[in-house]
Amino acid sequence: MKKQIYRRKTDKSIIRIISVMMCMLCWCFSFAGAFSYDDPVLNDEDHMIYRTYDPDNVSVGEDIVAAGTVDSVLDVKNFILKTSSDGKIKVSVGLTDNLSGISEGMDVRVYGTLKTSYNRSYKYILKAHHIETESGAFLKDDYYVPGGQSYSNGSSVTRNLPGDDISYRIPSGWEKVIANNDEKNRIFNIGDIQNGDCYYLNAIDSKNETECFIIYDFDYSRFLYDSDRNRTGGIEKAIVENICPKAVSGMIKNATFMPKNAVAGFEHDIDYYIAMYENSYSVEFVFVPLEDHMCVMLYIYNGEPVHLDDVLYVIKSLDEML
Amino acid sequence: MISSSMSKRSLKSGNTRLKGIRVMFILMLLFSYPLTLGLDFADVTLKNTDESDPMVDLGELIEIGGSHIPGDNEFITEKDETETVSSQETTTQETGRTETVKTPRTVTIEGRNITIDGQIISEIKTVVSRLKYYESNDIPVNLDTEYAELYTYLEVMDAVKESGVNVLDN
Repeated sequence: MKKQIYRRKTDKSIIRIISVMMCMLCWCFSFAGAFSYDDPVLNDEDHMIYRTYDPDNVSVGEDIVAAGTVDSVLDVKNFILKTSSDGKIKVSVGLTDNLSGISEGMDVRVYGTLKTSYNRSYKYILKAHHIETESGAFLKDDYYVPGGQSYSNGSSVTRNLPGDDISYRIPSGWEKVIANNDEKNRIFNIGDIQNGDCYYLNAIDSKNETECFIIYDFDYSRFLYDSDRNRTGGIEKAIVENICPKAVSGMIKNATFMPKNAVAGFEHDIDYYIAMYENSYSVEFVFVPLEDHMCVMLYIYNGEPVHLDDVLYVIKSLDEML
Repeated sequence: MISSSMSKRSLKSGNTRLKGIRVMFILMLLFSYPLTLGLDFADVTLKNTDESDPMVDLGELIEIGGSHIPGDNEFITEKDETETVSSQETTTQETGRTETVKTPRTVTIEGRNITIDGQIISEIKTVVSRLKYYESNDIPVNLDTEYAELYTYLEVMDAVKESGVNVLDN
């Protein structure tokens, strides 16, 4: 009898614990539900930038582009690529893809993620994301966006944010569209972040519709209480909500906040967020948390972004130079 | 017989308890992830900031962006304190070196002397871009607040134009 009472009590307490947990779960899901939104274009698998394959300077897991000649086709999923640097890489396509149209002797350019190979004939396997057959067997630049722009570090300009360890490269056309001090005084409202840079990308094409890239350093000691320094997600949310308040009067309103964690291909943790405004401006946030400070980037565009490839290159360069 | 049924029952109750603990453990694991997510995104208060005055003013940004002209500024902005529209360029011989001296242009409107420097050019561009924005979005102009400001700037622009300097190209 006692045992039965004890069992009933145990069952009741289990049910109670489960119901409390269900409530907590609902709360968490409702919280997470507020984040559901389209992917930021900067964190879309269809918009990636790839570094040119260099057999002497490459790491497994990196997103690279390799060009060369098809040495042999192994089966419908795999072929051997003889690169211009005379190395051999095995190229594999995903389960749903096949290599129809690829034949021996063909010049191809392959974009993908590099994996280790345990075969003696080739050191790496390239898990292909895209294969181009019209682009030739050589790569002259340092970075490529599939079907888009290519970038060379030699022709880019290196920029440093004053006072900190943040450096990045900009494409050569960007030097003419950086905001001047008067404009920066109006854009950055807090003195301490006026060390940031702002680029009016629409001015490159003489368009009136604003497309802009901003980068600045967010210093923890200036803006955070000590107890909050390790709460990266909360810090990022606070920055997004400060710049894009949920309801503000004026030209811009009704921002939606959504976090999107990093895609592969970067060495550092990079967090992405997007805020969409009523008047169709999108504001994408990119955060690179560092020790005691954070690099904050904003990409603002209306409708379709025009200089997306450039922005990908800038973020990639920053990731490599940190 | 009784003791055997008792031992079976106690074994059964032990199993139920064990199952309960197992379920609880799995549930704990399931809950821990969203809970961490929730805690990670818990509110953080930023100090030295003002909610009504965001760190980056997107309204200003969009307004300026619409009228930004390539090459409007020097690349390294640390040194360019003010832009000047040169009204006259004089060449001087100083220690064998030729250098160009720029002096700011001043125009007089209703007895007031207005120096055409970087700040006023920037303000004029803002007004122009604001007008463009109003026009493209069919926003009616509030004459009481906007016109007085525009009038002054348009006067400045006319005065500068008469002097042969195109402000928006500088």
